[in-house]
Amino acid sequence: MLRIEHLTKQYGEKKAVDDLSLHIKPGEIYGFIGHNGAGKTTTIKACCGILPFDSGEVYIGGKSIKESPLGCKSMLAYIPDNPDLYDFMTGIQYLNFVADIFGVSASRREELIHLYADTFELTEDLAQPISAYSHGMKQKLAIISALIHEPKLIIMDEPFVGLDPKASHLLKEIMRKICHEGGAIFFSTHVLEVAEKLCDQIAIIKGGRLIKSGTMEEVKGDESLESVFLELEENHG
Amino acid sequence: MTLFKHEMKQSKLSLITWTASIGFLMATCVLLFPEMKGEMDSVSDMFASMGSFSAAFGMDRISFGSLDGFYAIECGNILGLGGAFFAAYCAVTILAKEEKDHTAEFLMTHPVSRVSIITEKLAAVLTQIVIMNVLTLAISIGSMYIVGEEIPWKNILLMHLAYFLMQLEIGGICFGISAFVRRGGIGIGLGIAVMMYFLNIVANISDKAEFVKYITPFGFSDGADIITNGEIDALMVCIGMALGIAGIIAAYIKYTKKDINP
Repeated sequence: MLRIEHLTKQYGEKKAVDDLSLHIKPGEIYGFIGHNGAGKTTTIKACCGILPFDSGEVYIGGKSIKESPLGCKSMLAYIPDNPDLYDFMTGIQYLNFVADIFGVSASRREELIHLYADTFELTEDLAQPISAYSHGMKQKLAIISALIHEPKLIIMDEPFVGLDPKASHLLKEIMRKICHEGGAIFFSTHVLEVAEKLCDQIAIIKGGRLIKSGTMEEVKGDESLESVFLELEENHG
Repeated sequence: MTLFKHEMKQSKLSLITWTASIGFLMATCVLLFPEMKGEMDSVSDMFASMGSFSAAFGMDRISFGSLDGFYAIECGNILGLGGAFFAAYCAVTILAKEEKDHTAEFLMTHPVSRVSIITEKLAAVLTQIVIMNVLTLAISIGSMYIVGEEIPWKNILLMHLAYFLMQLEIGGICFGISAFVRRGGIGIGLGIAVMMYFLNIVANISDKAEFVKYITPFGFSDGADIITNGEIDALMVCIGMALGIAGIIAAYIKYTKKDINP
């Protein structure tokens, strides 16, 4: 579903991402962990077509993000860690705007908006301007907007930041459901416990380079993900 | 069309405010004309003899006592400057604001090409300029009917056409600037509009600077020249439109290649 091949992104002299290769298959929840400034967000933004990259390639559903950006983006949903939404819009206007861009039919969008807004308990706030939303509410709205066009691949940058425990639990349920139905999820997180329980595969990045990847069992074995992560951080220091 | 509708919705309040303000001021001037008409002959003579001041605003070439002369000077300055500010304001922020407001990331991750973004935003700018001009023309004509003056259709329509073309030029140039800047665009846009206005004043005052009329869009939209000549200078309009189109082309070239900082 998402194939990253030898991705390199440089800022001046510094390589933010250095020859990174990953493969996320349909049905997988793929976790991406690393210290602050490791290159997680740069990798994610390059995959979403926000940032151009210096070399390598990113394929989504078999299509190149460079050669077929619109085709890739029509299959993709991106949820940033700090969603900047159109503050002057109401929640429902924003969702309809996103649905219009993706060409979601009126009946289908109504069905999905009701479903997810009820799930995340945001229904009563949809008529309010986004400027009145808390960070958590904006995060929920961004999640709903990502789900209403039924993407095949969801890329998330620290999606649990700002979500209350119930919303976090619901998001995990939705992630499992999407993958069970053939979708794929690629997300970065600092919450290793969540990654440990949720992910089928995991990749650890440091200084822009991939230092370990594989299934959860392959990466952590009998140890906790936290101890494996800390050990790898020390060894590759 | 999604982005176009989004832009129009976002700009609704601004469009209403600018149109109402400019329309109100123009209507006020027209509605006051009958009261002032009786005194206009002496006022007109006085203004015509004020040397450079008269020349700067074209009052040495037209009569303040006729509706079209009065309109060219009073309403011309309102619609000229006000319209220029409006066109600059609409255009100079429309591309840059996505970076400034950090919503560029939203656009970049959705299946909307940069060319579509530019085209739909440009369409929104042009539509707003058209709407503002149609409504202010309607307000002016309506005011003239109310005061019962005979409407000098040719001169009024020529002036409004010239102001509209002037706004298109300024809008095109500022749209180009919008692709290059991330913030501070409003100051640049309004500054350009003011500079263009004063260039025309300089050209009116000094014979040696008359060539400047070919640079500033206020040159071909000068109400006094239009009434005196009975037409809009086609060469100036062509130069102006070429500059506006150059701004738009620059926007396309720059924005499609720009490393957008979300």
